[in-house]
Amino acid sequence: MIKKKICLLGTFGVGKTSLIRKYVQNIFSDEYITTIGVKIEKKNLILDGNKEILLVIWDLEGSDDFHRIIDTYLKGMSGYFVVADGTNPETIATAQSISAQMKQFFPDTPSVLLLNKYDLAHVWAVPEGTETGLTQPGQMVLNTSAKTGMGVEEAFEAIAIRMVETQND
Amino acid sequence: MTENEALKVRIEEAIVDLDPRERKTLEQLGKKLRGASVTPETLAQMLPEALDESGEQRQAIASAMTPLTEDAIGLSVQNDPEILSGALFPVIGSAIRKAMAKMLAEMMANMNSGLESVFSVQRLVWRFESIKTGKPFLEIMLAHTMEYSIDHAFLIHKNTGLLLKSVSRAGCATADDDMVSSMLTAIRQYIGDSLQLAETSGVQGINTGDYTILVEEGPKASLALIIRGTPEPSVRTLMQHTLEAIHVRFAGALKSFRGDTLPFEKDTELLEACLSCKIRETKHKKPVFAIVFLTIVALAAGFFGVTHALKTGQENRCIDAIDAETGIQLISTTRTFRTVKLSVLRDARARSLEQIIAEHGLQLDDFTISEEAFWSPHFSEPPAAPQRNIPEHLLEIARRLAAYNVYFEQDSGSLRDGQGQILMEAGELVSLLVEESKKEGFTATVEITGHSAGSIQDEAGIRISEERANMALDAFIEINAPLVEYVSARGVGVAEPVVAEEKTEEDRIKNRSVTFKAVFQ
Repeated sequence: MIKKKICLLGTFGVGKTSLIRKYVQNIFSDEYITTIGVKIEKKNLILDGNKEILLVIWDLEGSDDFHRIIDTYLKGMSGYFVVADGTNPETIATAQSISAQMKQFFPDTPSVLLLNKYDLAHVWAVPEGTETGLTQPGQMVLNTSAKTGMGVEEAFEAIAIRMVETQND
Repeated sequence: MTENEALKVRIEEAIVDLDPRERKTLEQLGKKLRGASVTPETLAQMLPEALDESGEQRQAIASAMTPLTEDAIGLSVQNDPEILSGALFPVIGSAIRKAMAKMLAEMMANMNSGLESVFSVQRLVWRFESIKTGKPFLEIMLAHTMEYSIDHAFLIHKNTGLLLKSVSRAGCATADDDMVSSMLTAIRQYIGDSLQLAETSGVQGINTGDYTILVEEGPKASLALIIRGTPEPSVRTLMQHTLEAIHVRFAGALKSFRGDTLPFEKDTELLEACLSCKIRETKHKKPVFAIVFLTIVALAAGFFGVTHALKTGQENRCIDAIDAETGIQLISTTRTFRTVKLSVLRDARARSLEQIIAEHGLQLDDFTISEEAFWSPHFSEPPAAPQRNIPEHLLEIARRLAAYNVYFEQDSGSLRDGQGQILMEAGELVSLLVEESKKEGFTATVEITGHSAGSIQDEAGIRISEERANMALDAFIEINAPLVEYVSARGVGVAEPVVAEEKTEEDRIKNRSVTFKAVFQ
């Protein structure tokens, strides 16, 4: 069994916990309960039909400043998500800032930028085709919706594949 | 040309290019290889050394030899079981005896614990606590008797917080070991971050309810123990030693860890050595309760056994006496758990069964008696008519009559002064008794007994007493002539004195008298 630690970063209210709950428990709630400290979930997935991986997912409290958690929560992670609210440009800018700084501290760690709340298409703030411009070099970007589940499985599979590829390098 | 042929050509070309000395060495080497063969003697010499040097391959060699060894044992048993059983005999006997002794000791200890738990006030209190809290009694008892118990051991990768390996005591299970180890790491990091603790002085222990979580950190891995109760300081030392040993044994795997926990799954010896517990009463003690209980049981059984045997003997002797009693015929005897059933035929003239039973120190309640009346030829007289209940008023007349004493002059059959009236009254009572008895279907007779005073029985005394009795009889007949059929007279002299010891003249006067006794038929 391969075990991998992944973290979710992003400012408050972008849907980090909802994405995890959707992925792990397949449930979604409109109720917003802010995360204090960290919550941990886990999920098994199978890659390439036979490679079993256990994802231990660290759901971190919303923050714009992650420096103080670099030596604690982020230590030892194999991959991370930076989550933004696709309907809120401020959160996108914060996500970009986080991604840039994380790249400096964890240059080889796979990451994926998630533009969440894609179900609110009528107020979507990211013009189509411009998503990749928001990313760091080597960072993948995906549109997700914790409410509908769109892109959620793909996101976690994508990070898992990248983590395994990085391990094999 | 095939690949092998091409290779062969290249080799031959290379050999040609060698200088003569090199070519010669190559030829010698070839000869040696072609001539060499592994003989049994050579193999016998090499094999022990090879096994000694097997090192990391030892496990693989053992694994490969296992089926071979099993087949060999099977074949040996098939051919001649005596060989293997003979070889194992010295071991088996001793092992069986040890196992039996251990089993008996455990049984005694368990019985002792059980009895102790039944009779101990402390444990009754725990039972009450169990009922009150709804927790199983065993849990309450363990909580009170156990100092601590190390239930879980987690080996955690220090950087990632990922669980490398966990072991748990039998019967103890956590919801999810991966989650526990990650959350433990996160909590320690959260507390350390919140309190701005230096990494070297991180959280080393957490107390929660009945549990203590101890954490010991190494350079690459942490060891966390979840302990029920309060651990002693030596547990921390154990953790340090264990962690050091883990860092040695798994140095390579820890250094290169990138998520693959397989190397740590195989070897759990070090972690399992951490699982231990300490019970408060650890000293081996004699099973006092069990011994006392068994002794009481044995004594009680012995007492009841002896008592029962003695009583049975008593009962048997009593039954024999009943059977031998004149006028009693024993028909059958049946013993039940509680009583002895007797079926008898009994002549009314024979002694009562109650009397015989009492003579043997037994109670009538010990027997269930079925008794039928019969006439026994052992008695000379025919049986008396069945005794009917005599009416009370007849008995009262008889008692009044018996109270009459009629006094006579000394050495004479003449009445003393004033005794004539007394005699008449007695006569009237006799008449009344006879008449009333007839009405009730009885025949009452009256016996007049004449007495004389003195201490020596002689002819003169007997004669005087007979004279006195006849005098009273004649007086009764004068009153009521038919009484002659119902009244009799006899003289007994000094044989049946009214006053046993004559101390005064008055005593002697009383003995110069006649008395009356009624008999009902």
